[in-house]
Amino acid sequence: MGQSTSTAVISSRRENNQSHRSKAKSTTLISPMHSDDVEDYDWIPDGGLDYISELPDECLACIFQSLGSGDRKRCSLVCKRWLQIEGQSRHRLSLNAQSDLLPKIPSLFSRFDAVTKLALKCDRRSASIGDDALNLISLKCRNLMRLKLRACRELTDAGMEVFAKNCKSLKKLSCGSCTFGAKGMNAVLDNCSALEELSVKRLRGITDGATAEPIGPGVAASSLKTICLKELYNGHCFGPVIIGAKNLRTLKLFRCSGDWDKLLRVMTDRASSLVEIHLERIQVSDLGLVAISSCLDLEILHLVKTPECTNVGLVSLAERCRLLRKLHIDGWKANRIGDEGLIAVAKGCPNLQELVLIGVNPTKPSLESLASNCKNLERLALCGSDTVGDVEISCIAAKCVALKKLCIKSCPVSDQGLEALAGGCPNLVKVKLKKCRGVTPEGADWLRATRESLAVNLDTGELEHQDASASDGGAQENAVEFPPPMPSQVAAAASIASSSSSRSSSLKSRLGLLTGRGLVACTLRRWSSGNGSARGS
Amino acid sequence: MANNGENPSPDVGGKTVKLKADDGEIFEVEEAVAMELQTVKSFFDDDGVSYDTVVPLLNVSSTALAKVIQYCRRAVELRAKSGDDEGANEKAREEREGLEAELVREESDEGIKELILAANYLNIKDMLSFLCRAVGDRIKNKSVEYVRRFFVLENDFSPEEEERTRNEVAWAFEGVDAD
Repeated sequence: MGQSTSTAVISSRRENNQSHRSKAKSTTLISPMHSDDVEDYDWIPDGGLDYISELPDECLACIFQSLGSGDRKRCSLVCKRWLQIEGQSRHRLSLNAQSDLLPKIPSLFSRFDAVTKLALKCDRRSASIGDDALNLISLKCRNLMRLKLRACRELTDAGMEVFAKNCKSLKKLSCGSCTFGAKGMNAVLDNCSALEELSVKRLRGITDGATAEPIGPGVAASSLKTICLKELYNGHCFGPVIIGAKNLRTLKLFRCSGDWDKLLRVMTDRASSLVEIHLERIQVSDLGLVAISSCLDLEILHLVKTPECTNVGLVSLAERCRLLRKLHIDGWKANRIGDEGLIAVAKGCPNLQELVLIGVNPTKPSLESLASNCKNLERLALCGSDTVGDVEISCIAAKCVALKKLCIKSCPVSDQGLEALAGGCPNLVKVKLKKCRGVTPEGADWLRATRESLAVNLDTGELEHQDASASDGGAQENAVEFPPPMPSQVAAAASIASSSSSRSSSLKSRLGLLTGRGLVACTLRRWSSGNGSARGS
Repeated sequence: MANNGENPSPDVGGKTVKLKADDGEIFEVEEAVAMELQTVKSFFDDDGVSYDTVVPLLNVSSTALAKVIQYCRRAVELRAKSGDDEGANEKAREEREGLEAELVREESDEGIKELILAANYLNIKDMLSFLCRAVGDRIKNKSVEYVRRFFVLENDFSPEEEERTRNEVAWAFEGVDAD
């Protein structure tokens, strides 16, 4: 299709068209970031036709909004008008926060004068921006809503306080590998009364032991909805803000040392509106689970590698948290959570939509119970279960009527199990099989051919990168990258789980095969330095 | 897609509205569809303007207006289909995305720009949004020079200014901040 309108019509429509139709003049310095543009556009039309090309500001801003940062950079170099509009419509900015950013701040933020979401990331080797830079930024971005800090090690408590006083509208703060401490954190909580989300990872300035200063609650306590703490030695000093956040909906604790049962109990003794809880590699036991069972609105629970949580705790939780929709359990092959707990979940939580079990050994009775009682179970992932074989798959196929997505990883399932899937789970849309030695490509092909509407994904690879899994259990299942252990090692794991000090060395030797990147490699590094001991950077 | 000047007459007994494109062509459109164009809606929101009044859309060509009307008609139909049912909503959403993709796929670069101008002038938020995204897709990962040619724009930076801007921009990360 083309424009068949006449010149007269177009010129009556055009307001201020400054463009020529001339071929673009050759300019120096244009070195495209991506030189994949090979087409030669001949824009010189015949006759006197002018093309419409002057889009109003708001349309340009709308176009820029759909572009990533690299493309926006290129657009800002098109012409002066675009530079201006791009800068004014840029709400999200990510800057390399090295110390030499300081002199650029005035010009950067007069160009980008509408930034509400800012990331300041430094790398480990460089000196980061200091308090003066953060101060300057905070004066320019009074309406800042989100701030992300990464490895800005030169920022101090004083700097954070100045920032907090200037940016009182802050809604989300995420800081990782920073070195300020409780004073700085308290300054944020005392000034940013609209703060909804707080994420802290590795805050080095929180001192240990007796000198630990409590953090919170602050004026932000009533607005906070999400608190996420990772890899903190003294995470307990956040106790006051966790307990004080009356409207907290999401709590995530990852690899923070210390015993968390008591805090969970104190937190849930007061009315708790928690909807989502993630507990990973922290010291929590059935006492903690009993405390959590007071959260009657709980919908999402992740229990990852918390071997002190057993069937007992899970049963009491299942009896009260009736609204549970998503449950992820990584039992770490400790066999402390199994059929008994799962049957209680089946009976107590009819709304269950998503279930991910890693290193847990459910057998037919619990699978049947889940299938019969959880009529809305749409997504199921079973990883590293020694007890899930063809019989269990058949049971799932026969009874999980609502199931849409199924993922089986490192389980003793064979092609025979696939045969069951061909005829069962009427709503099944996708099945993913990973590292199940008994499943062959031929079996997968057969299933694809037999059931054409079903997407079958078979992965027999030894070691792969952490792929972006399409199933909803993605984050959890990708964490299991080690090969299924031999039965003797399972027994070893069970005994290891109860003595934390020997855990690191035995598992490390088992995982010695693995090299390279990924979650497991990072985990290895952490374990090898021992639990709770001081870590270098 | 639309032929020039196609003007399907409404088959419902409901009210219709007359819209006049810049070349004088009149389009008679169902009221519900016409109200998708916020500019038209505002026109009638004024007291005392009768629905018989022909709405003059001086800045919109008949080609563009025909396409806009066609899109809005389908959008209204699809919206009626979706309701409380999650499955129906999903299906309606997919159909709408298919409709949008179809509309932009056949358009030339010039055509899309013209539609953006029309959607902006007529104030149709959803349409403007996906059209802008479509243009964004067409200039993604292209060179600065390509973008200039696409929009028929001249580089009015001096070499020094351009160098300065380039350096300033180097402080931003290449990737998109996932947040």
